[in-house]
Amino acid sequence: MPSVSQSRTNTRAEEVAKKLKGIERYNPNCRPMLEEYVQYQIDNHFYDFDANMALLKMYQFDPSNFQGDKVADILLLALTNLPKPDFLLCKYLLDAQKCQENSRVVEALHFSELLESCRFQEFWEQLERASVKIPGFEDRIREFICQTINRTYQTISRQELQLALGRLTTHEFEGLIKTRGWKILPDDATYIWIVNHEENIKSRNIVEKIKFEHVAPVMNIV
Amino acid sequence: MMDFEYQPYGGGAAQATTNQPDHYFGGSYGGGVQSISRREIIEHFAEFRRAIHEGPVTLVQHYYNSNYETMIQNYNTEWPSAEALKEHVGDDALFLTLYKEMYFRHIYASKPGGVSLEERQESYMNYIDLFNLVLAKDQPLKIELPDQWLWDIIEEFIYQFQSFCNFRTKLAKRTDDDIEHLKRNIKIWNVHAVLNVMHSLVDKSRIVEQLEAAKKRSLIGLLKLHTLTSDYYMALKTIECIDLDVTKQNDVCQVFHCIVATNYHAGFCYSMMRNYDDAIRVFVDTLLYIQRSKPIMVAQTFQNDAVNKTADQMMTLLAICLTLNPMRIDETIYLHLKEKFLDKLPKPLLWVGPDGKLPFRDSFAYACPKFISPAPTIFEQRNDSQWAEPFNRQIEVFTEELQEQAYIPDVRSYLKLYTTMNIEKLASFMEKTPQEVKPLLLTFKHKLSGNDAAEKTEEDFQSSADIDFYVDKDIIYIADTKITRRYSDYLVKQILKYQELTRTISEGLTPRHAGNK
Repeated sequence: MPSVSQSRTNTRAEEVAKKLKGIERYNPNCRPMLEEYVQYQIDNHFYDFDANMALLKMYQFDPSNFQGDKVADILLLALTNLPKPDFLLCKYLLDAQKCQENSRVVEALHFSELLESCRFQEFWEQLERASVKIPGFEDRIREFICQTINRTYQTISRQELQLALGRLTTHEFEGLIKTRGWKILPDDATYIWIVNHEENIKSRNIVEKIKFEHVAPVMNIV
Repeated sequence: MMDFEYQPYGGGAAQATTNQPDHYFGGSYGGGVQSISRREIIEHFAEFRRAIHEGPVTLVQHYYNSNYETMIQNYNTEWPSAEALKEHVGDDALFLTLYKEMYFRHIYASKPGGVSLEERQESYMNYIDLFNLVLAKDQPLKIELPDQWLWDIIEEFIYQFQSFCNFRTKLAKRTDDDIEHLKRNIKIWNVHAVLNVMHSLVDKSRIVEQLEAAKKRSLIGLLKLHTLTSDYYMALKTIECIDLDVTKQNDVCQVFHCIVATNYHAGFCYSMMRNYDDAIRVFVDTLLYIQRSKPIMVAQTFQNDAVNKTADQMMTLLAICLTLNPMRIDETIYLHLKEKFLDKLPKPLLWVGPDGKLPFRDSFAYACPKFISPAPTIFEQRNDSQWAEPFNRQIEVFTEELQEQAYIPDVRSYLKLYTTMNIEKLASFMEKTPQEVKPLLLTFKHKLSGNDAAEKTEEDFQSSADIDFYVDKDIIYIADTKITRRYSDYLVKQILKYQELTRTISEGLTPRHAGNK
């Protein structure tokens, strides 16, 4: 991000944070500002979890002001922060019935279910049919998917990886592999090397190490 | 001064005065019928008042504790009204508000289901008076209240708020009169007012040093409030500055029940956000702390019930977290857990009983805080659904989270049997296709790995999950961590014990010399 817009979003974030200090956080007059701020986050490619939670809290205190579309936006933004449990924390504050009444919220809930159970291929298929207007959304989700693959696989089949990452052109796909430091296996191009897990994930037999200080009290007795 | 819009209230006088005979028969607590005369109560409080004004704070603590022993537990005793007390102690506004706080606390304790709407309202007004006095801008607080008392006031305040939320949402039992009254007085026990009080206490104590203890207690009050309204994010954020390590908390605050309550709520928040590692750590530490502090517990009898209940709730939550995220914990706690709690939980957790219900709900219902809804009550719906809704919502979301993790225990038990396993083989064990199994492996890693293996130190492994794996092409490589039993602690203890024993015996056998010292 160019540095000018970074400092602008930081200033805006600071302004909002100031308005949410102490008891002011629950002041209903803040609600319109927080609702606008959700759109601001979408337009400027950034994410303020604290402010979004404050808005959800206001909807909880006063359900007559519940805005389904804003809630949907907040939930989608929360998904971009996976694997952090932001989405889960939001869910606890939401009225189940009101959620069911807004189709975009229902859709977001479904996305969460698919991503949390790592059914990535299904997720991309669902996304095709939806219209998520958050720039950068796909990239952030892909980032989460790559992290999870990184933790799980040492070597993965090319086809598997392509399905997990959604519709990418060959060019984009190979670009992504390079950026993450992954490698196509030289002797078998159907597989891709992710990371060396062999070094770190091995069976361990932890033997107790007795420290001298521990047994010093009894040394003079024995 | 806090800006509460409430109906003008003539502070100081209790509205409900009934005929008060001179003698009361004390309650049957601990057997034996005690008679406390009204005069004795009044004398006690007159002395109490003197202690508050003259100090030292340890004397106040003594009076406060003896209060509980003799009076609050005598459920049949009716306390004299503040008006009556005024005649004997004079017009001491601060003392009378403090007295009334205890007076209402006694009422809530002695008739939990039967507290009337009027009593709830008066108690609320009294709290407003009390906090206004404490937070008065121009005068610093001239008296020093013991920590224990401060904590009890804040805790009771939140408890009465919780009780009021239950009262106003359990509409099936409310009379028409009550409902009318509730409709006309929606500001009473309003959630904004309660939050305002807590935040004002926190803010004020930044300026006045004396209130440092009050600040910590208020933060914990907020922790409780946010947990009750299912805002686990805010709950944890509020206590960011408090180190949950029990030894550190004990240095700062010796109010035993306060530490236990704090850690219970913090641990609960962690479990709801899927941070099972931290939840388990906090629960185990606190349970060990309770075990070690048994001698203190005997002294503060009136709090024992509350602490024991919280300990049981933590055990249940610990059992649930360990089922989802098995790891090594302290042996003594683990044995106790196994005996009493692990067997109570259905295996797997989401097992559906023959009646189509989930038995694990009962364990969860016992262990969780009693959630409330901060939203305004819709008085037209004359049933209990608004009362039940907060709990139902929380358990529903928690259950959905469990459903996403439903296959992990199975995967774990198969992986434990081997050091390497072909994905096809795992799939056939689980009666699924390899394509279905791959997401399960990814989910396992997503939900349950805290740190990546590379960063773990040896100490982390001592308490970490028992199993890890990675996938290379179509083969799963499994690593498990075996820890040999630690014998050194046990041996050192035994050696010291026998040394003590030997010394005692040999002293006993030496002939006694008549005393030149």
